Amino acid sequence: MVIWWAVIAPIAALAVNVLGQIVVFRLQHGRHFLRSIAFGFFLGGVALLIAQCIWPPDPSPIEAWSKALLVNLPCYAALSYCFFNFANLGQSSIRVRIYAKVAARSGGVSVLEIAREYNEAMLLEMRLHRLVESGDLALRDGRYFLGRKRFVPIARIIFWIKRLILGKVSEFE
Amino acid sequence: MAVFLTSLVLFLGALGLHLIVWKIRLPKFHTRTLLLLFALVLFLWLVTLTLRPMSLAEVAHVCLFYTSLSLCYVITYSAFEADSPTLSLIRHAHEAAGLGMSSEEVHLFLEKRPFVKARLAALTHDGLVREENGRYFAVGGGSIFFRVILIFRKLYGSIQEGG
Repeated sequence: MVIWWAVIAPIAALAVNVLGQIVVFRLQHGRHFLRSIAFGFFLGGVALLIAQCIWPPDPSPIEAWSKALLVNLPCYAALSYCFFNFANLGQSSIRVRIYAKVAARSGGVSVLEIAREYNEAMLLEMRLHRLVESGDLALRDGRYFLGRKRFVPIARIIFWIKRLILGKVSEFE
Repeated sequence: MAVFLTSLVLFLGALGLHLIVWKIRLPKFHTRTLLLLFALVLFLWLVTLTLRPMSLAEVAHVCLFYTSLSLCYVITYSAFEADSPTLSLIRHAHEAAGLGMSSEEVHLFLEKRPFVKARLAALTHDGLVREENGRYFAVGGGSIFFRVILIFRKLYGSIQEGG
């Protein structure tokens, strides 16, 4: 069992993360999704460290402990990233929301109904409003300017990788 | 250390293979092909284990670490495959620099990028929904992945409508 502990630890930590996130999110009545994700991640991280501390693998505890942590820390972070994206898909993905709507009705959903709920113009207004509120875009004299630059490096990296892998920077090209 | 290095080498090898395949020809189903590639690399490594044996726990540890890294990449890849409206807009604003963009320019920019239509087209392309006389229907029981997401959503209770 001791030898398997290093393998089980990140999975157990992920389980703590998932449970913690769901409980916190429900306790907050479905508000503060990102905060609950951060809390779950922190809780799972603590569980991982405790798991590593209370039951370090034999025979040379310190060496085996640090080696297991070298794998388990990024492994736990990677699993948590997967969980965050999975949970986030159910929360905000337009694709999942449309699919949920279509799957729930045996008679199908008309294009008009989808267009009404996911109105491109309305979504655009909401997005613009959010970006202006967060300071990422600045509205001056009726024109939109780049505000905070926190998304610029992320966008740069993503568009650079898109060009490298897909050979284009946009799916609409 | 063997677990860490082996997983890393396998992951980098799979990434290299993915880049080569993508440069030769873009697959029809990106995510499925990507998952297959990563699984193939792991399978080949498992086959060659007879040449350089490892303990069962170490093999399981490599499988876990490699799989978690691979899933991370596959998830991140979806951000490369489909455009993010926010990042597209930020990039456009950054390119406009000191001039800024008028409301009409922003609308025109996003009109050329119908994100909802693109997501509907992706669902149809992946065979999850079909269109018939202007109505969309779920195909069969749907994908396991989507069903799991929908079940998981129920754990959260109700969520807001809209995008």
